[in-house]
Amino acid sequence: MSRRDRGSVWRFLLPVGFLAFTAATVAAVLFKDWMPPVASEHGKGVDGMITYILCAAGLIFVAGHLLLAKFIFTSGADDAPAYKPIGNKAEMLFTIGPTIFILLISEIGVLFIGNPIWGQVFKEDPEDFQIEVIAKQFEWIAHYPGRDGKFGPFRMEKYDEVDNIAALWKKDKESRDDLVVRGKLILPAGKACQIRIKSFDVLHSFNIPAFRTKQDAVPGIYTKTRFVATTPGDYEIACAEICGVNHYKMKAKVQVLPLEKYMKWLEEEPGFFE
Amino acid sequence: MALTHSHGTDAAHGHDHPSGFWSKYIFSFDHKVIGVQYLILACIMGLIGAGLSVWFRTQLAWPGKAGMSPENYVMAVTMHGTIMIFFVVSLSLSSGLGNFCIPLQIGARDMAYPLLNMLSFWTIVPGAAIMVASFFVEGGGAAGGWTSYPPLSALPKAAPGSGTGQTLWLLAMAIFVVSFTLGGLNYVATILNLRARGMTLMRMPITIWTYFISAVLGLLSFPALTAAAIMLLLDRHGGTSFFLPSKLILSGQLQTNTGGTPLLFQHLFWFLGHPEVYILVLPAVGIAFDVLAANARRPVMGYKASVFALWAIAFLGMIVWGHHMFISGMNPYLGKYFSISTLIITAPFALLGVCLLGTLWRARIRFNTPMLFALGLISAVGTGGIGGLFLATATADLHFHDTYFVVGHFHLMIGVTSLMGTFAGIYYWFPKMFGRTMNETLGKLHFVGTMVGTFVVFTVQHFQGMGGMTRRYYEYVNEYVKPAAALNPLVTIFAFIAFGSQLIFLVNFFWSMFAGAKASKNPWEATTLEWTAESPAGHGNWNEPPVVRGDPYRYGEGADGKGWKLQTDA
Amino acid sequence: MKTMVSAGVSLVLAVLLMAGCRTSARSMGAPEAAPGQPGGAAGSVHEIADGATLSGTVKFEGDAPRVRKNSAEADGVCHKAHPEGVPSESMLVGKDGGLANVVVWLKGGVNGTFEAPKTPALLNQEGCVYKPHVVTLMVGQTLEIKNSDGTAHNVHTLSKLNPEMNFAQPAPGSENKTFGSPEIFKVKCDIHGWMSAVVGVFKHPFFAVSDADGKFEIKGLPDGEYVVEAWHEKLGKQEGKVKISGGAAQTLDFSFSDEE
Repeated sequence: MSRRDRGSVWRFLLPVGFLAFTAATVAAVLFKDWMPPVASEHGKGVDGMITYILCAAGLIFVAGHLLLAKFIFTSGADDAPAYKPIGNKAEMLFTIGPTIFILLISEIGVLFIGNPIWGQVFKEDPEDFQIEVIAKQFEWIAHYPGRDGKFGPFRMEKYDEVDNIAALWKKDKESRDDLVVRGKLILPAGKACQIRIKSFDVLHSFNIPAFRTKQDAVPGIYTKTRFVATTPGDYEIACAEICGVNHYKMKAKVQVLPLEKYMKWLEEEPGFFE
Repeated sequence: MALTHSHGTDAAHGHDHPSGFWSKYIFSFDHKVIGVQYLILACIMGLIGAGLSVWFRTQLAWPGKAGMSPENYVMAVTMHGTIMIFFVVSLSLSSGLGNFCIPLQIGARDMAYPLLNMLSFWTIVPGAAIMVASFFVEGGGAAGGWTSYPPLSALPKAAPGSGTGQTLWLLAMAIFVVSFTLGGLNYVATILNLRARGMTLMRMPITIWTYFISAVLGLLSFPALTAAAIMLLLDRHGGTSFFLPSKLILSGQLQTNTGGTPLLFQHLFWFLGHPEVYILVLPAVGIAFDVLAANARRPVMGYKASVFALWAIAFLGMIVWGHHMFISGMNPYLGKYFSISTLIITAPFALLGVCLLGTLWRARIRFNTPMLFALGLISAVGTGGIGGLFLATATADLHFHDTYFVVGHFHLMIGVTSLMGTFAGIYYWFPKMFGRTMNETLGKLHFVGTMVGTFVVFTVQHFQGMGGMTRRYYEYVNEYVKPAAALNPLVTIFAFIAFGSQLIFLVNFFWSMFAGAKASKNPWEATTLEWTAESPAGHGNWNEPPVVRGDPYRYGEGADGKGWKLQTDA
Repeated sequence: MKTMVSAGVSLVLAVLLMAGCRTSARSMGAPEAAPGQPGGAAGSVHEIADGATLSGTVKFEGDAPRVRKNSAEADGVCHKAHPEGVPSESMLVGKDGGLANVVVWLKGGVNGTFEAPKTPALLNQEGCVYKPHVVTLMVGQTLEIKNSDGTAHNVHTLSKLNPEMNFAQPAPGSENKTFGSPEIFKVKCDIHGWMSAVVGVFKHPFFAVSDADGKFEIKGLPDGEYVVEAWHEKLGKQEGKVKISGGAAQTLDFSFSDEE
């Protein structure tokens, strides 16, 4: 008897707790837009994918917690009659049903929504603007191929942290018109940019949250990512892979210009050895 | 072997023990003593690991007010992760409770290799000591993140802790792996060979299945980490370049390495790292099944389905490690493959989840402390698992990777789920360990604090991650992240609540050991074998080894109308 | 049991030993490089007020190179101080081809020991630039490293003979450091890669830095024959010889060129 009374507090408290938690989480999803404003074409797709999972997973989350609350609330007390089997059919339905449902919604999501967008991010198109992004502890440097569309080769011995971070050599003719911008990535709006990323030292991650772009910078290889910025304005790069003490300070500005302005900037800016 | 024979009495206090205090409590061969030793070591390490989190959470909430430099911060997050995963959750759940309950639940007198068992505990002690000692060397402890990706962890000058601290870290990890592998071998051998008469595989409690599967997983996957750790040590001290490519320029200085690739380390690391998640989560789920059945007074739903799901999870868990590396620079086609394969795991995992939930259907719930933790675990594993759907999808991972969404997700899984399972297990088996029960009032206080604290912390972190808030940042200086970072004080306050509740647990644990209410042989009226032994069970566990005559969860049965039947009952 | 304990103990000892070895290896493994030791045995402390003056000009042969500017937009505080970008100070050529920021010091021929000044030398981080670009001081003299900006910096010394320092410095902040070995080395900020400075540490007080027009002056030289070195961060170093007798002033000019 006393055991039953003590239990009854929890029989009420736990369901209320679980339901409050569920309601608060659902409200937080519904009533506030947590994601940074999106500013790239594939970013909208990424957001679509996330919304899809939010709806599907949210359904499971809510249903699961409702059931949990219900089972606890309606459970028999200690002096209730002993458990009687539910029956194989009902149990099968109860277990296999949700299993297949979850498998289907997640695989459909990744196959039909997710992977096509993933493909966009790694597409290679010679028509795209090529930009190199260099990562080092704890800075981002943008390197543009210039009017000839060719990156100057990397000349180790010319490397200078202050004056020649991209390690270009003035005798390489591809290097003359290259542009090197420290701490700022200038981009055109509405035109696909193919970014090749390299790192001089440790792992970094090229992350523009507003673009939903994230790609590790790996020393020794070029990694690639691609995006189409949609809206002119200022955004940020924030390093997303721990790279040392000042990881948190490793940021840079992203400036998206209207296409004409960008082309004008490319034309007028003197090359690295001009 | 000799010992299991000569101490087959249920002597609780060892008056008849010739070797006295040292061999009974310190260098004991008894699996129960070793289990408790693991638990106590985990408590000590837990205080350090969780204390670190309190320190850096203070910094995150009120930057500059915690007396913490950026150097301290990266070290604290690295060591928090390492200590919590390998020296708290692994030690308490896998090693501690595993050692305690495996022989008891399968009806064995001890582990298959009691000496090896003692050795594996006394191997981990210097490992833990070295890990703690690394705080005090020049440059401090390792600071390359718990994943310790090279080149950051390979080049001594890349981070302050990448000098001696990182070497000690690797050494401690190697020792951990040795100990854990010895333990795993013991589990597998014990479960396969020492089951009591009548204890067929399909009569084993689900807890035993989860320990068995996690031991197999550990044996298969830990060698990859060992290899990675040795290669990294060689890169650091032997002049090799497994993980270091040519032409590295660190701080303007050219490094001499040639020809390696950092991605290799990531593959090796996650080949262990992902199964490790299941190694930590599955036993917690297993314990929850046992505790749920005992306190819902009904058999678990879908025993066979659950065992099948466990094996499926284990198998799939071995081939999906790449979902930690979607944006690491590996081939994008692999990203698609790992997405699809990872999402297949949702099926067995969902099956396991509904079996947990279904075990409450038509239940007669006894709301004692272990049961509360088991119920909390259902919510934690569900909520955490749902976060996994986002992260397993490569496309969504573009936004979530290395943000607080990941932090919230894996803390719910290997933090909250594992520890809820551990706590459920400790409260549940405490009477069998010490012959006393833990204080119920303090236990329930502990539950409420843990539940409220951790759920607020880690759920809010999911939303911070949606806001793009990146991990391992000392301070949030970016503009875009300001709205998400504004929630940091809230998270920190609830983290304090969660931490404070663990102090209640520690008090309760050590106090009840000596002053708890005396417990009977079977205080929960549970059905599995351990409840046929005395409380506390003596060395050798039983006078007469039990003989199993039925399934593990015989609730709702019983001719005499009491509604349950021991596994040994006819 | 005993074997277990001793095994554990020896394991811990081995670890400590390894730790010890690493530290000593680091301090011993520094390559020789850098400036030579000023010669001469220990003698009396010289009074440098009454000695000869050595002066001269450092010139750059050829066209003045373009002063590169680095965008500071990554950090709002730095950008505010330098909206047009931060000009590089690594190669500053003044009027008549005078080369600034060259460290001129007596490499050989100095005898005696000299007491370090009590006043600290200052390396100030202001507007995300090191001021001054070249700071010189004596062994044992305090170097005050100050952050006057509203943003965190990271001070990283690329020294070989002195222990390498690498520490984050929140704003505002100030750290006092001293150096035990004579050496000229660069200092950089890992957060703001354009920030670079040169620190010269010497055993004696006979050193100078060329000004914007390339002029330098070293005072108080006792009589003797000296080897003088001019050191530039990008153009390398050059040596000259000078003989001082009877306290008469001497001049010595250097000229650098870019091989390319």
